[in-house]
Amino acid sequence: MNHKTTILNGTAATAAAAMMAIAPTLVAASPLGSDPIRLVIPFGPGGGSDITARVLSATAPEFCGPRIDVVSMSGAAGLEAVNFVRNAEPNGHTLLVTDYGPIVTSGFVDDVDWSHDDWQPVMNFTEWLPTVYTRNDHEIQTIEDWVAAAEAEPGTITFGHASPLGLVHLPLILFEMETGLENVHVPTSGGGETRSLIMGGHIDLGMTLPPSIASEVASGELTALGVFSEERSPVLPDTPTFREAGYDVVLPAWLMIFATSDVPAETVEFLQDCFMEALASPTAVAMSDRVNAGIEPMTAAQSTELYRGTVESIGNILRDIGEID
Amino acid sequence: MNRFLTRMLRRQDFYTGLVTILVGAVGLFDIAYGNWRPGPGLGPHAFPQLAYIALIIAGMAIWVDVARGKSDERPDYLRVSLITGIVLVVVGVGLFWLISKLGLAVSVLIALIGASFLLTREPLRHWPSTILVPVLATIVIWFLFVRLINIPLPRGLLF
Amino acid sequence: MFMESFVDALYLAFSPEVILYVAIGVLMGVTLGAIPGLSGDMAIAILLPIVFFLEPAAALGLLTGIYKGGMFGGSISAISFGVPGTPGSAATAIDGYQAKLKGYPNKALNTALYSSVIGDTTSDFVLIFLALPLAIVALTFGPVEFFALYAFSLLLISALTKGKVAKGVAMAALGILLAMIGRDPIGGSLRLTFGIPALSGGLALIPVLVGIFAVSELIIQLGRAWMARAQKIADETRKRAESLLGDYDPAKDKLSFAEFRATWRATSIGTTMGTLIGALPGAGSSLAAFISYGLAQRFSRNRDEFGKGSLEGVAAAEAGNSATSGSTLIPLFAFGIPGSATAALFGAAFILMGMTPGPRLIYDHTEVIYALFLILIYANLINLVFSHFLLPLYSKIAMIQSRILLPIVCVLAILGTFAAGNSVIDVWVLLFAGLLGVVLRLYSFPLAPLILGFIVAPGAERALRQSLLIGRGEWTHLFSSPIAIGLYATAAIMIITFTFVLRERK
Repeated sequence: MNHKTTILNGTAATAAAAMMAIAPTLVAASPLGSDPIRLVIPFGPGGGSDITARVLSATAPEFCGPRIDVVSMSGAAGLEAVNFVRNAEPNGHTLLVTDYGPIVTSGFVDDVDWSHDDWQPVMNFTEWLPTVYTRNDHEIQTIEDWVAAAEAEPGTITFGHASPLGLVHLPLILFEMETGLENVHVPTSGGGETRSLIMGGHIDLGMTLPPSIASEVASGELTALGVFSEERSPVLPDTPTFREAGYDVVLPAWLMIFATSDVPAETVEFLQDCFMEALASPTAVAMSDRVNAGIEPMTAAQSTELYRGTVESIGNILRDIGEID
Repeated sequence: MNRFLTRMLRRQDFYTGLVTILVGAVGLFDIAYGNWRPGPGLGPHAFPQLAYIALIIAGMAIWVDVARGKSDERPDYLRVSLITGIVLVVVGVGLFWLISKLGLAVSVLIALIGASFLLTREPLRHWPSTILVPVLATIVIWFLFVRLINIPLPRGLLF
Repeated sequence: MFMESFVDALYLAFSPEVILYVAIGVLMGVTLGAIPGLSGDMAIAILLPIVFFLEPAAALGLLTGIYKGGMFGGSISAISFGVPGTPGSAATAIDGYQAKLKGYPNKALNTALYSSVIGDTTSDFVLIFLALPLAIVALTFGPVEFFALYAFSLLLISALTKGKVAKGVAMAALGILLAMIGRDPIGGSLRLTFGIPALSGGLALIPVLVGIFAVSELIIQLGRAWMARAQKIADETRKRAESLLGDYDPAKDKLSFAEFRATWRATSIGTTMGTLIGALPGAGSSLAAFISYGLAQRFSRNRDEFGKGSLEGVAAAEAGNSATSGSTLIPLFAFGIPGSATAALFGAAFILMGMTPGPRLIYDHTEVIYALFLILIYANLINLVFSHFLLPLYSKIAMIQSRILLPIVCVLAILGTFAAGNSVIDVWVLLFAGLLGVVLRLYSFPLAPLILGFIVAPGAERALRQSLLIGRGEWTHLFSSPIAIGLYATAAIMIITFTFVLRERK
């Protein structure tokens, strides 16, 4: 008998959990309908963007009204997700959650039928700070070591970065443009491969985003050389920025929610308010801490400023290296 | 010599080998004269080039097999299979168009009943398998894809 | 300390609630895995948010159950309809479907189930006891070693195409070319997209694989069903068509112990290869299944039976596929590096529960991880028991007349492929790959080398070009590692053995 109640309790808990996700609790004066909101991410499931978006989808229904689904569409290198959101009805129910790759970089280099002005940020989750790292027994352990080694023998240091022109490659290009150093760029299939190549001693340096190496840096297995941002990363408080070392190279990445620009202003404002409210709730804060997401929400206005700035700086880099004219 | 050639030309695999070689040759031509951007190291064309060369060699080897009298038979059911394939592509495209107009359940039901009627003789007499089974299948499919997974159905995304 | 956490873990793992979740997971996994296009991975991705609301042990139990059920479930449709339900079960379809056509779906399904559970359980034990040493071996695999492994796999194509080497090589080349479509992973420029922006992301594995293997088979069967209706069929066949199951006799279709024992060698080859390949980041279960199938064929006493419904072929492929399931988590546990899509999803689940994947995991969350180890083992038992009772039902479904089943399987394949990537492009790729598959089948081209080429090419290209970048363009760099030299040497020895020694033995 005792056993049975445990099972029932367990099932009841799941049912309750499922209900929380499914049952729409209607909020008064909402410009949204009762259809679910879709947060479309242009990447495969399980990555950082997915996990961060799920904190919002788990907490926001209470504040926004309809249930929220995270939908992962990685087709056509993420462009399918962008097109899906662009072709959806402009009612605020289909939103894009992305870093700058599929929207800013693709908007420049790919053959797309939209421009950067066709998108308006709803809010920004977080800023990711690209970090250069290596294993703890490598001879390069600081930014100065790296610069000295690269000056002594140009073109010998192997540097792993995910896909070309991505979030963790552009900062390297910018740094080389700034300093005139030369490294061997080794593209990998992603952060996981970069890390195993570094830990296995196959390449010298690599770049990634802080949450994925924070615990290894803390335990001393990996060394973070420096961060390409204005201020130090809260997850890696002991790692200097490149600016501190005297190189003015700053190229943070962000994770933003976008709506198309034809979504009415009051809908965007409502979404911004309820998302911000949800992320400020104790449940969301606890979840964000648990998954190391480092969520620090920004309003639509602040996000728009950040977005415009990124469009400009990425455009400059791509023009400088001759990718676009 | 002449007899050898006519015998070759009658074999099915003479033509499959020819197509294989042609695909490889066209590919190599494209790499030599097409618009390929150079990349770091080997460049993006290295692996496709290797594959094209392999295709040409394989095509030659098929011909050698033919010359030694080894060839696969002319396929049965060629026309009916190709027609069915093209019909399935059309039905697939149509299904997604219908889904965007009528919703998933109705479209799937129409497709299933339509197919059963095409494949069964005297479909009305076999109503349990031509009408009842499709209805049950549609209910299960709807529950799985719409209620549980909630797939983002395409809207105006067709082309 | 160890005993204490172990006892705690026992309580966690065997609490009725956790067992219930494992059971639900296995049932869901088997069912979803059986639908072409849908796989355990996708079910895990959908259920990730539930992790927020469940106890860690229960959540991990649910995900483990789905994963294991899905691994086996894929072989159900592979055997029943020649339509692999998951990428890993494509190799199972080769012989499994032939066995079904001969009227032995139940034997094939049971062989698949037992070899799958054996492979899976072995691999779980390897994960539990050898995770660290194996992980260190996995880390020594850099671009140079990976290229050697991929070159080795491509050589096995000759093993997969007995008597049709020329056509096999042509298919492998075609598979490589299909994999080259999209963005060049090293330089970033577009290639072979024919100006179609939708192709810029390349072709995804699931639509290509399900299209080439499954849709083409469905098209041919649909064509025959249509012919059967259009032409006047003989009275006898018509009478058979009256009953739902035709003349299938379940009594003749029971797997005997002697038959099962005959597949033992194939199962061990599959288990070994699957465990090793699964531990390498990025190699994947379909590659493991094909390599196991090829090797088992080469080392079998009844080599000629392969491709004609050999139970050994089913056992090797299915053991190879399932034996990746435990070892794929090794890089995740040892270094926090996800080696496969499934490992990435498990990693995400750990992160969502506030546990960081990596070597600290087992020290920081000892009870939960021990409980997970226990669950990994007993989920296999649950899978075995459930599937054992469900298989007679599945083999009956497999024998339902094609005119009733085919349209349903078609619709499921289309919707399942769409749902796997939420991509309309994938559906077009699926349908056109199906058409291509029909043409290739009709002209007697073997399909397995095409898939192997498609799976191996991206990794091989990346590994080769990375090696040359790291080695500053020196080709000798490819021979700079003992592991790589060892792999090349093994390949050379195997080719010599196959051509000279084994040919004598019939």
